[in-house]
Formats: sequence, C-alpha cells, structure tokens
Amino acid sequence: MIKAIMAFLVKVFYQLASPKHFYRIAGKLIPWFGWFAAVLLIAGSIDGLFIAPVDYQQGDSYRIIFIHVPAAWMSMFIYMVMATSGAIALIWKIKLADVIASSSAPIGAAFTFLALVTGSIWGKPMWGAWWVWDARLTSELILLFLYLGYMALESAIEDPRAAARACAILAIVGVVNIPIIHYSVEWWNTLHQGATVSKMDKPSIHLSMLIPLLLMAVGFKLYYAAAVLSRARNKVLLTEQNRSWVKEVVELETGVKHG
Amino acid sequence: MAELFQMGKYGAYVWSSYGLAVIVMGYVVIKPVMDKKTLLKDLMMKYRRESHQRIESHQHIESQQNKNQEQESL
Amino acid sequence: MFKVFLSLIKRDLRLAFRHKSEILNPLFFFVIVVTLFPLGISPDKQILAEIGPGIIWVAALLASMLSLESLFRSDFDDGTLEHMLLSEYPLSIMVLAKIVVHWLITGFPIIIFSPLLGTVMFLSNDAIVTLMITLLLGTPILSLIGAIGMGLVVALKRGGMLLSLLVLPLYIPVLIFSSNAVGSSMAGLAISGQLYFLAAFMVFCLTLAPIATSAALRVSLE
Repeated sequence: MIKAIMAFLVKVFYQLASPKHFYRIAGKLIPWFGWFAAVLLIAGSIDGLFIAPVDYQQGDSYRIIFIHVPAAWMSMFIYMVMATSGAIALIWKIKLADVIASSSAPIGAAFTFLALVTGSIWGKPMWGAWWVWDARLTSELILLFLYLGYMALESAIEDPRAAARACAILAIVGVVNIPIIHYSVEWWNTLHQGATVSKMDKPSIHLSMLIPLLLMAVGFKLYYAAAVLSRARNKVLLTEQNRSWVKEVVELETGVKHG
Repeated sequence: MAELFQMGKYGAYVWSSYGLAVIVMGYVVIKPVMDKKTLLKDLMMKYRRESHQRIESHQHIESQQNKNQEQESL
Repeated sequence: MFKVFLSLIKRDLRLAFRHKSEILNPLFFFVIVVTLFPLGISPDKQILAEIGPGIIWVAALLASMLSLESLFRSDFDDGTLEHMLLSEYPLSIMVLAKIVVHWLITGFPIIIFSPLLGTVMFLSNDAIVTLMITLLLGTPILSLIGAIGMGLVVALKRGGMLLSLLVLPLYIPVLIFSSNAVGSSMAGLAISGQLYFLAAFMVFCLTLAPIATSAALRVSLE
C-alpha cells in the first residue's frame, strides 16, 4: 500500500518535472486555483470592508491592512519560493524549477510594490505623512530592491540557462540575508522610535478582524498559484518551442495545421 | 450606502488601496493571457516558415537528384 | 594549498602596486565623498557630529563597491580566471586570496584614513576608535559580499550599475550596525552588541561568500 503510494508520488514528481506534462497538468489546475482565489478574495474584501467592526483608534482606515499585510506576507513567501526553486534547479538541474523561479519574480515584485504603496497610503491618516521609516515599510523597500536586482540580472544575461543559474545563486544569497536585514532594520527602528510608534503589528488581533485577514491571505496564495502557473506555461512553450509536443499544442490551440 | 462608501472620512485612502490592488493584481494575471496570444501567433508563423523551408529544400534536393539521374543516363 | 593561496596574494598585490591608481582612486573617492556633505548640508559642528558616522560609513560602502571591478575584471579579460576555474586547486581558496587582496588595497587604506575624516566630522576620540573597529570588521564583509556580486556580473559588458543594485541592499545590515555603534560611542552608550554582530557577520561571510562567489564565477564563465 505504502509502496504503491510512493510509486505514485514519484511518478507524479517526474511527470511534473517534464515540461510537457507540466503544461497539461498546470492547464487543468489554473481554473481551480483561479476560481477559489476569486471567491476567497471577494469574501475577504467584503468582510474586511463592510462587516469587520470599526477600529477604536483608527476608524475605518485600518481596513487597508486586509490588503497591506497579506501583500507583505506574499512578498516574503514568493521570495522563499524563488530561492527554493532556484536551489532545486541548481542541485537537481530541473529546468522547470528555473521556470517557476523566473515566473514568480514579477509577481513577487508586484506584491512588494502593493505592500509598500498601501502601507504608505495607510500611513497618511495614521501618522500624517506619506512615508515613514518604520521597520516593516523599510524592510519591504529593501525587499523590492532585491526583487528588482533579481529581475535586472535575469534580463542582463543573454543565455537563458546561465541567467537562470545566476539568478538562483542571487536568490539563495538574498534569502540568507533577508532575516539578517529584517533583524537589522527592526533593531534600527526601535532605536529611533520617537513619536511615531508603529501600530502596524497589533499584539492581539480580534477574531472579527483576523478572519478577513486570513481569507485574504489564503486567497492571495491561491491567486499566486494561478498566476505563476499561467506565466510558467508560457515560458515552457517558449523554451521548448522546437519540440514536437509544442507544435501539437500550438496547432491545437490555434486550430491550424502545418506540414 | 453612501456612508459605507465614505468609510468615516477615510474613503479615499481605503478605496484607493483596494482599487490599486485590483489594478495591480488584474494586470499580473491578464498579461500572461495576452502574452500567450502573441506567443502562439509567433510560434505559428515560425512553424509555417520552417515547414516552407523544409518543402523548398526537399524540392531543391529532388530537382538536384533528377538532374544527376538525367546526367547519368546520358 | 596554503602556498598557492599566498602566492596568489603576492601576485595580485604586485599587480595592484603596478597600477597604483587602483589603490589611490577608491581612497580619494572616499575622502571626496565625505567632504561633499559638509558642503552640501552644513559645516555646523553639532550637525556634522550627528550625521558623521553614517556619512563616513556610506562613503566607505560606496568606495568599496566601486572598486570591486579590480577583483576579477583584469583576470577575466585575459583568461587567467578561466585557468583558475580549471585548476586543480579549489576555486574558493583562490577567490578568498583575491578578496584578501581587494581588502588590503581598498578596506585597509580606508581604515587608515578614517581618523582623519572622523576628526573633520567632529567625532569624539572614542567614536573614532569605534569607527576604526567597525571599519576593521565591516570592510572585509563589504569585500566578501561584493565578490559574490562581482562574480555574478563579471561576464556582462556593462555590469557596473547592476552590481550596485545587487550588492547595496546586502550591505545594509553592516551599515546599520556600524554607524549606530559609532553614534552610540559618541553618546557614551554601549557598543558591544553591535560589534558582536559585526564580528559574527564577518565570520559568516568569510565562510560562505567564497563558495557563493565560486558558484557565481562558474556560471559567468561557462
């Protein structure tokens, strides 16, 4: 029984590593991820915007956290995924891992940008300024630089395989440094607190506010799954374009045949 | 209803945040869809070009072979 | 293997001294950048004393980063780097040797000149000593992390700006703890925690950076 399950898992793993099977399986998975994500995001937004109670201190402006916090979590999560797939690609030479890493970068950068801007927008009613050098915002800004560096390196190297390997190294170095950077920025921030105390990290959060937060967090993750698989499929078609299975797929999807 | 829209006095902030999220996340999922259309078109053209080149080169080889056979039979 | 390590250091030092500008330019840059700030902000003693530690450290950061080209550029251009990759000796050792030389020709002069700049920025004597200690611990980190970045971009035609974008975010922890230590020293506060962090980070980079740099060089050179 266990043997059968193991054999099945190994088979799935190898199939997923094959670009041809990945293309097909991902194609089936994307609608599922997409629709579930949509449901959760809409539910979370409605809950966060209209149902969750008004905050005693911040009024309705706190509702921005239902975008800001999950976006920040995603920016971190996606970078981890990039570093992990990069490591997998370097160690086991699985091309698909490179594809996932490279497809994830723009999505992660988008979430980081979103976290920064929503954090900034929230800051205006909270502290009266469009930007504060608070620990989380500063860390997010540095993370954005890390993402941009990754994307810049990828576009600067012509050979796609070399680019993937260089970016994998960069992502691993980055992921090792991120906790160090976070810790440094936190430490730096606590020294210069002054009048603007960061209330972004509520020590204990009320359940009625936690639920929309979690709905959005899970929704964002499923959204990311759909988005990354969608980009990855395109990349796979591009890199494997000389293979016969790609020709078949192109014929199938455009409805035209060639000699 | 209007009260919900106002969000206390923070309406502009809250709605612009959610609106930005919709725009950014929408773009991130729409772009691959658009890219795929162009990619399929480009690949189609490439395959068409290649199959034409293959046919032409086959014809070229065949005509060379015919010429050789004619010369041999002479 | 140690002989190879030493001979590589000697060779690179000899080469560096043939082009003295490689040593002097980063140093002059360091001094000039620090000088810009009183000119651009204010010559007031209190203000300069407060921003001094940060400015000196940022200038050291930038000077170290701009001199990274000297690490692998010339060896890459004439093919020596390829030979190093193919040699039987571990690449990490050779990379470490080159990093040591880079530090000797950039970080070390910066440390020597820092008391002068500290005085100019009205730092107290304690603060200047702390400044030198943080530079002593921190500039090797800058060379080590910089080497990783340089390894990634050495094969690119115009990798200079990209190198900055890759490496500067990684320099931030060093900057935070170093400039804070110097500032705390001015105020008579404790600095041991910051120095412990710097020492730990330096050892961490010393062990891992050569490996990462070797991996990066292999990618760049294939």
